[in-house]
Amino acid sequence: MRRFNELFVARRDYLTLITAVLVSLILMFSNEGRQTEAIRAWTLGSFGVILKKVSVLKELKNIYAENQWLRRRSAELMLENSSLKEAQLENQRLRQLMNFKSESQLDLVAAKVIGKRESGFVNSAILDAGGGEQIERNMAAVTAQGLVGKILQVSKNHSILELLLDRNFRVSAMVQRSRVSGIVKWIEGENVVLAEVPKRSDVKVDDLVITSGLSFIFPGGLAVGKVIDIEEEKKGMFMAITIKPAVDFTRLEEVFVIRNREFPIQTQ
Amino acid sequence: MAVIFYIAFFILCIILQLTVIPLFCINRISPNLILILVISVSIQRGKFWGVIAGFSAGLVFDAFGTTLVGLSSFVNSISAFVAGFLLGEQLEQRFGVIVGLILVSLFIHDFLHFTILSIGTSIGFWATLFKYVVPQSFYTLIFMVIIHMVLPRGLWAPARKY
Repeated sequence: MRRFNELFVARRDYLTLITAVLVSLILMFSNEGRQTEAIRAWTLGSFGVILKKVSVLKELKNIYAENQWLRRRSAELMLENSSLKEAQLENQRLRQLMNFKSESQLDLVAAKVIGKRESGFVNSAILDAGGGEQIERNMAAVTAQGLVGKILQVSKNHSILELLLDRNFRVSAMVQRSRVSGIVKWIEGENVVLAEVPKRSDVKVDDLVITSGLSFIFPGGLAVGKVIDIEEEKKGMFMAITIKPAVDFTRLEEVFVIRNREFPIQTQ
Repeated sequence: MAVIFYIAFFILCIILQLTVIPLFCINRISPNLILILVISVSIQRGKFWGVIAGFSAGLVFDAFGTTLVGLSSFVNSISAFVAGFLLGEQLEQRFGVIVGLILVSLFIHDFLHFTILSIGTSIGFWATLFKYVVPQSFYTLIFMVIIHMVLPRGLWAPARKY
């Protein structure tokens, strides 16, 4: 026993490293396990409370400028709103004429971004709303500009949002003008790509890319971004279409989580 | 006493990493404050405490990410061990030597981290190395040197007795 103790003390650095590495590897290979999920939710809940307090302090300095901007924006939106109401009425009349199904309203809940993890391949945001606001895993999140991401993890009062710029994010999308569809995913940098689009498809620079609606997570018609570059792969059958996201992720402060679970398939 | 002090410091670091550090993000590269503290612990207190600190802080930090839980604890533990191994007996060396050895520890961390994350993506090895690993290592090193110079006792002074 004494020899064992001596051996342990002499080699404790190496033994600690081996233990830490082994436990990390076990965790990495059991990521979908319930216990891992529970630990993740607990950590999120515990730190979320502190993060929320810190984010309030951080925001104080911006409040005056934001207030001025909001007043101006409010006036602009009021004008825009009146013209949109007119357009909506016209739209409803036309839909009725064309026997289109009226789309259900999306059930949105606002959430504030209280923390961010941005590091190369991993891009997530921590929101101050969670299970208490009926937010669940795999719900889509948007801003007025367009698609932001989807909910990855939920605790009672907080949730983790997987951003469009994360390596694991995928969404079915299409070019609004020509209805050419593909899969939007992040590859590197500040932009995303529309992949799986066959060569010679009708795509132009400045085309708007929107969600296709062929999904249980994302409703159709959400702006993803604008096409900024098109390249044809030399060897493959597809085009590499680079998209600049509609949302400015460096200024992401508030998002809306879509609580709907079913969306009508877009038939435009 | 020292353990409580370090736990408080790590909690503060995690909060700063999630709230303030994103403001310093350039092309999706941001300094790793948690790693700075882990390496500092490893240099000051030895490999044993460095690995424990790296593992624990990595585990907590992984909860806020979108990828594998355990990845940060894995790479932090190895990096802490390397830092303690390389620098444990070298604190009397010149500033440049210490900084160089810290860079090696940071590089090992970022190399493992980004290489594992790049598996399954279309980003090649060299692109990962030059667009993510090297910039992140240098960016963190610059931050670490600045913090070292600002703090009265620095980041790699011999540990204080509690």
